[in-house]
Amino acid sequence: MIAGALTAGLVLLWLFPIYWIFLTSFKTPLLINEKTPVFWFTPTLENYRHLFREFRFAHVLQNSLIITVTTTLVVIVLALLAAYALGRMDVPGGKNIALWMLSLRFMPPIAIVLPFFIAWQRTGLIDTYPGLILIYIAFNLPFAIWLLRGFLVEVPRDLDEAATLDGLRHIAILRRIILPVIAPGVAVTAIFTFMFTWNEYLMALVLTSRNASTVPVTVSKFIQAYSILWGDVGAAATIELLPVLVVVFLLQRHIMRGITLGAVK
Amino acid sequence: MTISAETVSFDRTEPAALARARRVGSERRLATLLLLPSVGFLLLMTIFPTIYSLWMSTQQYNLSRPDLAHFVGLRNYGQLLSDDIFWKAVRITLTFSVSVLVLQFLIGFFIANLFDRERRGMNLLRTLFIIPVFASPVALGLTWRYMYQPGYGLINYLLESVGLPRVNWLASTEWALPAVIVADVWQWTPFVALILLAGMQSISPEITEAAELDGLTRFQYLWRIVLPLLTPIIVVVGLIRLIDALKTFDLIYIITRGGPGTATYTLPLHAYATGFASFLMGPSAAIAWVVVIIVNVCATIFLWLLSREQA
Repeated sequence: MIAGALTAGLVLLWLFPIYWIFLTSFKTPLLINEKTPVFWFTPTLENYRHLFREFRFAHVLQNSLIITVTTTLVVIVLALLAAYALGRMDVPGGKNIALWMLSLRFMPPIAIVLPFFIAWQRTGLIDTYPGLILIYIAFNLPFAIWLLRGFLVEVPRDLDEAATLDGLRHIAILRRIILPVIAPGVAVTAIFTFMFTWNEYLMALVLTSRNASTVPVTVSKFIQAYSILWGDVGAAATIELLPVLVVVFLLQRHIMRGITLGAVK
Repeated sequence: MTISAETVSFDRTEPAALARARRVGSERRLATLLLLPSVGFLLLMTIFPTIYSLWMSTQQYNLSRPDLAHFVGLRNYGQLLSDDIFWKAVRITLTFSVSVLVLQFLIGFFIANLFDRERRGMNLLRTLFIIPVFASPVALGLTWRYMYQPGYGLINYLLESVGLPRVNWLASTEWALPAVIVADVWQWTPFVALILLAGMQSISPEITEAAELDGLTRFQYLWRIVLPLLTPIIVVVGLIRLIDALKTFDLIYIITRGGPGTATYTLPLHAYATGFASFLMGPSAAIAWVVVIIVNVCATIFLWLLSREQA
């Protein structure tokens, strides 16, 4: 009982910073600069209004959504095909390919941002959706394949064999038999890809300016030389965190599996 | 995938072995076809930037005057060796990475142990606990920056209310690095804790019961049974977290921009500032490659352990 209460208290305390920025987004500047923290007040939407009026936030939000959703869709399709081959077919050197893909996860972004910056400048891909989407696909694909392969390996082989006897070809097996079974795995992979792309900062910072700027880049610009617009920061951070909350609650059980599978296997 | 004899012998028109060879051949072709888009795309997107940035690190290349670029061999690397800021960045990077790693495991182990009980509501708590891991480092960095504010920040308010002096966290060369470490530990401890928890829960009930029968205390159980059993997981997760910590850019950049002075200036920040603030692309690429080398040493150990475990 004591341990349960302790755990609950600890988790709530742990999440306090997120609650705090959420509260801040509904405060007037006067309350924000208050020395004594204020917990009860009449909420205002002024920060949100200011955010959308002054920083073209609707446009930025749209950029982030288009880039993130496109990346996620492409990654899932490519990763499913590749993971099916690696996880359920006889591929020469398949294990090495899988390990090579995993090793790509370790490439520091700071080492590849420079070449892409120069290459994108020359090819006109700088500050465009495709410019970021191509990079994000490359960033997410290895981990997505690795994750999906983990889910696919666990599906019993009898299923394929029964389907083969029924005369189904591989692609039909993947679509009609395997896909329904690993739907949670696909969901988790989609979530990981979506969240990573939605949150990514360094590439977007260097490779976008006006047209294709994403939410994190725009939010980071609220830090100005001598002042920070904390109300706008709070509002933007709340909007930025919203998809996380939705996703985490919709897929709670499966996310746990994805995390352990991605890290341990 | 191996085709079982039953599957193949169904086809009575040709000898089983021939049919089997044919099946394997066509399956390999299909597998190659399925892998080709991903492997081809990844090769294209990794080989080019790798070679280009390696080449760049041997150039004197100023972004504002690309026409004056020329080959200087290993001079950019040589200059790093005599650069005090570089060595300080190496020290800060290692201090940051090792500190967050150790703290995340100590706190993570403690929390995983708290979670490791069957009780209603634990699932909900676990779900809530994972939120920071998925949250944007930019949003979280700004949140911490707000709480670290000297005048109206929450942390100073708490310190003062228990009688401790206020600290200007992010403006102090002494406290800025710990402040950044706290934020990173806060974001990533849940990840470590939940993986350790998954490990704890995969320990077979017989072992746990035997430990209870032997009258082991909780601490003895954790120390003598759980810890040795979890060692493989700890090593793998530890290396993943270490590599991620070595690469950290966003959280630190948002909270301190490397400052005050160079107090939180890690190698990724150094590479970024050298390239995109000073426009010295050659030295920037050289610094980035030092990060690549450090990360690769860790990654090689990681992959070696992983392939040994899977073999």
